[in-house]
Amino acid sequence: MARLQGQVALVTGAAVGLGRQYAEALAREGCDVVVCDIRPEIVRVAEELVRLGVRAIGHVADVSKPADVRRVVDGALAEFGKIDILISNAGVWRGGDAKDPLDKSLQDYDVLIGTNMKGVFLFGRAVIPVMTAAGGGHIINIATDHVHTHPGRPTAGGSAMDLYDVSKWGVLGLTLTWAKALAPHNIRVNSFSMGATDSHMLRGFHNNAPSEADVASWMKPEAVCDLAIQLIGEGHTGRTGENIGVWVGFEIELKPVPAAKPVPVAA
Amino acid sequence: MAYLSGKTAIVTGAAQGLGRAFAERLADEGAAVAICDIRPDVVAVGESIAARGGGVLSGVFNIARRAACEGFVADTAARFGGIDILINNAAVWRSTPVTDPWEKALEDFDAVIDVNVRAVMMMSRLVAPHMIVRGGGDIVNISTDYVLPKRREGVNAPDTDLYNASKWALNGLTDAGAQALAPHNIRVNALAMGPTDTEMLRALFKPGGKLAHLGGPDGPPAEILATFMDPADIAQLLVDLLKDGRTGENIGVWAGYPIELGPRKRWDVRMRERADFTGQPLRDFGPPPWTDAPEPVEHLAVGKPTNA
Repeated sequence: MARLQGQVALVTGAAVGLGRQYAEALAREGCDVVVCDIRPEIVRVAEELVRLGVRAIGHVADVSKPADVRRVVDGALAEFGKIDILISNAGVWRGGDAKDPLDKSLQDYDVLIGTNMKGVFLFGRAVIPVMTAAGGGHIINIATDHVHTHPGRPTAGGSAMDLYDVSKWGVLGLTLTWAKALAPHNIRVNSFSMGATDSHMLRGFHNNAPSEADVASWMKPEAVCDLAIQLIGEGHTGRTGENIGVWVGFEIELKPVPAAKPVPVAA
Repeated sequence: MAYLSGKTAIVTGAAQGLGRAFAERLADEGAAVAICDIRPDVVAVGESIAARGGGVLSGVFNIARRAACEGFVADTAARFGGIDILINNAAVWRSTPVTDPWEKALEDFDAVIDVNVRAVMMMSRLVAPHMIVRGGGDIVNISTDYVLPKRREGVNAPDTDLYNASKWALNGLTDAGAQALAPHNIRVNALAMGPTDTEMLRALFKPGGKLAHLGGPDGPPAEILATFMDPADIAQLLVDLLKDGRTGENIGVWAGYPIELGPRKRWDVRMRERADFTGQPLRDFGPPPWTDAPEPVEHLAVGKPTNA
């Protein structure tokens, strides 16, 4: 039974890996989908999504480029007239640390902050007016468990992760602020602090030839996609502003929203 | 002999407020100071420090410009023979409502992120080789208590997405930087600042400012002003931090609480204040932070040193 029939979803970075699986999961739930990726294969991915019985558009787009973002969002509106769901999934990784020469760091910065942080900012800011006009929506930003670790693990992925972590901490800041600003508009904004998942990026870290033991230790994309569908399925009164830990070795589930602590009255 | 005699410190954004207080205090401790700001007033700050007998280099430039940063760091090293301390204090604050027009959003992203994140990365990268040559050093990033809430999350206003994101982003530079530079005896920490009596904060209460309805032509009224922290106390905390030797910590500096380093944080929560912090925001938006009633300080357990 399709749980999201008639909704329009936009997924960035959807040509491969998790992004593509989010798009397929949303299509199976009845969403029309707009997908984009810097990879040209995205056009073929859209064609395959259509076979799931929904409408789909694929755009080749660089999420760090404002003109590309506008083209994707305006194209979605022209075709479908609305955007109910945004999953800002596009992300890249590069290693580097605080001893790197400035030239390298600035190149890494442009790639990492441009895609992972500015891309999230641009897509969010482009769809927020659409969602406020429609009276609601859902935004899910994809961060990393480096910014929200399971108990007993330090924050951050290690010294070689600094600009990657900079970009993902920045995503957390956007999520928290948007959730607060958009709560009156029934727009829910959450992020996934993702641990190791069987994805295009992670397979790339293993030269696209991971061992069976590696793969067995990773989270399954189906479980992560189902978590996203459940989160959206909570509806307009569901949780918002939560940085949801999606951790290896833990249940992949939405935990009950903790009760807000009472705020003491100022003296 | 003064504690920092023979050392050189760079303080960015030193024309006023906290940056000026940091520069003056580091000079009082014996350091030669290289100070910069986009505001020309930084030259007068430099002259007043020089009049007290300290070595000073002043630079007026936009910290977002790579060539200017490179020139300033090179000049500092040449003038004083090395660099030991970097205080990444320069920052911009802008109101950036999520409903802003597209063109303003694009401009705001660059204006806020280039100064608050990219320039911090540039300056840190540029000084690291100088500190490695010296056998050690200290980098201190100035952040906000938005990212290290004392007892509830999300004290930032809903119209500060970019400022908030920029300060969260600093966590990455503080945490990973501390790990990468620890073998070289270079420490990287951040001060997560609550409201402090600075020009940036006072301006919000003046006509045209966001909180003008609470203030007047002179800024905030006395009862609000009294709740702001004193920059001199923060400068003392900075000196305490330089003497302390910890690294990779986000150190909370909250109005209404003791201004102190506190015990070293346990290694797995050093970027956070509470082990249970999950990044959930305030559900009711409540009063601004300076009207918070103080609550007993409850420190986390003291654990092994950071980076152990």
